[in-house]
Amino acid sequence: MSETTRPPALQGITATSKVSAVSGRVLVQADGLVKKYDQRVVVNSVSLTIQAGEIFGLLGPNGAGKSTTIGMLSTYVPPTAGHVNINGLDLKRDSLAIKQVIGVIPQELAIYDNNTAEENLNFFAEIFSLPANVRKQRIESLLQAVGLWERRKDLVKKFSGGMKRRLNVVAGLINEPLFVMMDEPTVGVDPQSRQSIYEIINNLKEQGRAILYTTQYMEEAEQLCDRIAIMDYGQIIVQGTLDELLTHAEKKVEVEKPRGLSQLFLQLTGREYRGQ
Amino acid sequence: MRQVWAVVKRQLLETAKNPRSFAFNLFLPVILVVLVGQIFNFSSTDGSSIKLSLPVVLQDGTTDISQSAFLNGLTHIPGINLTLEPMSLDEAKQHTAKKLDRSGYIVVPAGFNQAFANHQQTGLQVFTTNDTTGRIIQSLVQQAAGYYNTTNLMVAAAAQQAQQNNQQFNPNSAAQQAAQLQQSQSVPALKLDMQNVAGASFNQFDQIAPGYATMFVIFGLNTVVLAIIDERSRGTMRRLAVMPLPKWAFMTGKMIAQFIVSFLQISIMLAVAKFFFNASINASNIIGIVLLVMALSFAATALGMLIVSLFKNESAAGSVVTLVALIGSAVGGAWFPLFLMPEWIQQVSKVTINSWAMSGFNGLMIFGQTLGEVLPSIGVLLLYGAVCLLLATRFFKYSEA
Repeated sequence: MSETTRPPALQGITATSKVSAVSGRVLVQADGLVKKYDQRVVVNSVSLTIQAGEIFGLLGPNGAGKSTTIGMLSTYVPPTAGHVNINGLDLKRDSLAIKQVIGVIPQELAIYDNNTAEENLNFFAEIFSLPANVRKQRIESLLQAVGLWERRKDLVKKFSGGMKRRLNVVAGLINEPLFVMMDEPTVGVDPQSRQSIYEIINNLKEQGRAILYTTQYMEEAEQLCDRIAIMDYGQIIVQGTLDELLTHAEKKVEVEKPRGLSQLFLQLTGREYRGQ
Repeated sequence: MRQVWAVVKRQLLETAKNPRSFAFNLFLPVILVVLVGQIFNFSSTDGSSIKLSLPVVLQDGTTDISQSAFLNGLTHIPGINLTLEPMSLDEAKQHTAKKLDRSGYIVVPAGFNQAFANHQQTGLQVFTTNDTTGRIIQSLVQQAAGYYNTTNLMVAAAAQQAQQNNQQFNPNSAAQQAAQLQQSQSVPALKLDMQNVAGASFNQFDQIAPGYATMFVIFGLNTVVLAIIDERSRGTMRRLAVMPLPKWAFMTGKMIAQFIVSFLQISIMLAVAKFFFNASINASNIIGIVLLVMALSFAATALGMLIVSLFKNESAAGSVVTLVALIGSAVGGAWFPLFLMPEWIQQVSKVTINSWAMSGFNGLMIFGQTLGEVLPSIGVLLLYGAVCLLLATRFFKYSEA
């Protein structure tokens, strides 16, 4: 989608976003990531790579280890073992520098209800020490992008669920991150807001950013992700493009070729309830 | 520092936009101080069940007050528990000059008892402070003098009547005679010389304003405690932890915001006490009071950070803040003057912030101590804050890293 044909709400994002990452370059590399809490292994030997301009879907049932993996990649959870390299920076050595180039969009609405939309973004921008003129420009473009510019002076607590969700997304993009981690950003969102979030994600991909995306909606992953990994019990069971996964399943599981990602997911992870 | 300031600004903005928190922190304490101050003022004026000690200076050189019918009468006025203490003039002056010690003294001239017994005119000097207790003493002495004068007139009238009517006594005509005698006497039998003694008055707001300010500063810790717990449960703290905002910057920002709120809270309460109720804040103690307010704000804020480091959920942390505020206020001299409490409570209270703050405020505002004399209180508050902060830094969980 070109800038001229993109809806007005999205033009703002590209207006200020310039990414030096070359599409296809490996931006994120994780090798043998392990996380143990006492003797309980939550993530076991997870390895993945994400390239610039790629949307990498991380799927799995509740408790599979997706959020802990994001926690490790985002510097929040220290890995018990393994290595992570983001944009040439080592996670253990350069965590502060890594924080400058990553953006995390959490599943929960991690924004301040008693502040306005503008105050929220301004605060997060100040944390990244952005100069005042850059802050102003970026806040405007992001709020325009998600249709909240007119409501910028309103307290967030007066927003609808969808509006809060959209603000939650752009709050993670205030530093124009090279690597964006999105943990189920469309949970409980109306179709209009969901569409708006999809457009932002595609726009970020066009700009050459690497995106790690987790979701429980299989059709969302099919539609958005270039490559997908399915996790269960702390391990990645399969990863590849959607076609690769479906072909792989046909060969490995020796059942009829799954009709889609949803069927494949259930074949690989089983039908018993999780997280109980 | 830019990031720290961003945290401070956002927190203050949130506090200001939360009307309940704003009202609780700034207006409720002021209203309460005014109300409690008025209640204490009223009960003092009412005088019921008041316990007073009054120095008596006997100018005949004796110390035995039991021989004086007048002085004995003073101790039997209903509703007042008055203890008379014989002492020298110098001692009486010293006690009266010291706040919250004695509110005046009476000087009994030589020959007073003899004149009283012979129904002759005599005088009494009454020196009182210009405050509620001083006025109560004046009123007591006037009341006793009134009894004395009436009795004196009745006795004189009875004696006159007995002489005129061959020892026959008629109460009605004696009363008429007494009234006539009162009109003819330009000077009462007991003449009171009432004088005010300057510089020793005690204003109840000197105790109540800092007491309640200290209590509400600790109650006000709920603002920072609940704000941080809210950040934890909402996920904003996790979001900040993956941004370039180190733990120390987050904690410092929160602390500075709470410090500012606490400082304003105490300052406003003391300013109201000063400008509306004439509390003893003046050029001689203002530096000490400001330093004390800063030390108290620091210690309280650090205690809040420690509480939020140790207690992770809202109900537990909120309960601890309430408990600390109430117990600290009760034993730490916020509700009742510390120096009037039993010795063991004074010792126990030393574990509370309130106690050190109140001992400083009492020293500066009531006992007229110098900055140097309250420096130990300020020092202990700073040390208290530093220890709390050190422990808070150790236990505060910002991220799993």
